[in-house]
Amino acid sequence: MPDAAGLAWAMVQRFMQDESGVTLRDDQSYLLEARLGGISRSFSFPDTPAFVRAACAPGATAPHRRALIDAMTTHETLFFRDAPFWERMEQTVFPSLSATGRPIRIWSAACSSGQEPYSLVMMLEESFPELGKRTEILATDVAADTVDRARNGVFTTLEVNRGLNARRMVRHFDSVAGGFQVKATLRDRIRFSVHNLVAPGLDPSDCDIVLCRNVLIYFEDERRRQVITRLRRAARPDGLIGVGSTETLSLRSLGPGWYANAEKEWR
Amino acid sequence: MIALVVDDSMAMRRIQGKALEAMGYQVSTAGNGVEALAVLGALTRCDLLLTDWHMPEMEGIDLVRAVRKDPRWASIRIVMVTSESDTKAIESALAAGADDFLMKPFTADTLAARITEVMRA
Ligand SMILES: C[S@@+](CC[C@H](N)C(=O)[O-])C[C@H]1O[C@@H](n2cnc3c(N)ncnc32)[C@H](O)[C@@H]1O
Repeated sequence: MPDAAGLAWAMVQRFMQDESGVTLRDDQSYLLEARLGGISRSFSFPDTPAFVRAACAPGATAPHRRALIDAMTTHETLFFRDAPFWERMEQTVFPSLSATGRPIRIWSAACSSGQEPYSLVMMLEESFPELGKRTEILATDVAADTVDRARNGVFTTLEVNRGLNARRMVRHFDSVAGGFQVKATLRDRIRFSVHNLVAPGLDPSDCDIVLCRNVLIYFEDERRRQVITRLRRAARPDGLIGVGSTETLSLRSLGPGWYANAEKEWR
Repeated sequence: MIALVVDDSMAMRRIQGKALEAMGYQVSTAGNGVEALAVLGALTRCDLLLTDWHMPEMEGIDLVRAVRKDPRWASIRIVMVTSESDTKAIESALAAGADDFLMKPFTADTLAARITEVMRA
């Protein structure tokens, strides 16, 4: 007979699979206490299984559901993650978008705490200011509390240290209580919202670039295929899809992490 | 590659020295700016200087200025590694000639990544 913790872990696995597509394995059950213990106490539940039962119940309150999704998704990220990916962005992708002269749309589809979309606006501001002015950036994530953090744009010293040299940091951030905040002029360029890649909902369309980096790895094959189809629909036929350096798509590769949407057979 | 680590804390010298050695550097150390200039005077080559800001006798930023004035060290890369975190202070360190500025706290990975970036630039 499974114990209370075992049952709770099974509920969390089921909930996360349904709500976010994220697959949690049986042998990851240590995450139950590691990620939910503190939260359960902060919501004044007697123990972690009691919190899990409440958050997974059909009529669960939004704060409980939000907290569960936020805690069970992995938000690991850093500014300018994977240097070769960003080098290609700077040397090839942005220059060719600059040359089009038309308005541009970019979707960062699992933006976590915002390092990815902020890297975009910093690079635009530094090297492609004209392009930056006509570029719309949408940044979304399924974890609502993390999206709030991203919108706020406040990062700790440890976070700004990862991926940002001092010149970039002082140019684009202000010192604030608790760390450093991205300057308002840059924050205003990004529209942040909660969006779930595996639930029905409205996606952006006609995107020149769709970034979905380091999130497909958490999905099972069938889910991954569905999400990729969805990303491709959101991208222009001549658009680009960007993924993490350890991920591959069965599309034409253009460089580290970069793929051409190109073929239309998925329509 | 040869590096000089300047910090009045022996613990910090050791942490940074270890990280640099793991990256293949030969490491010298000094406890303040005056000592650092003496060590530099004795070295025939130095590629990288990591220095704290607040130290007795000679502060890190004065060390940066002194090194930048010396044509022998024209190509040395300088990173300030300090608990100073005011953006104005960081700007003044960059203006004094530091190539990068790493605020404490940081992880060993971050230190290595930043050094790699500075040496490549
Ligand atoms: C490891 S982070 C990657 C962040 C960033 N793209 C990067 O590469 O650094 C993965 C993010 O995917 C989000 N995520 C997981 N499932 C999702 C879903 N179904 N829809 C949207 N975002 C999801 C998580 O909340 C998390 O913030």
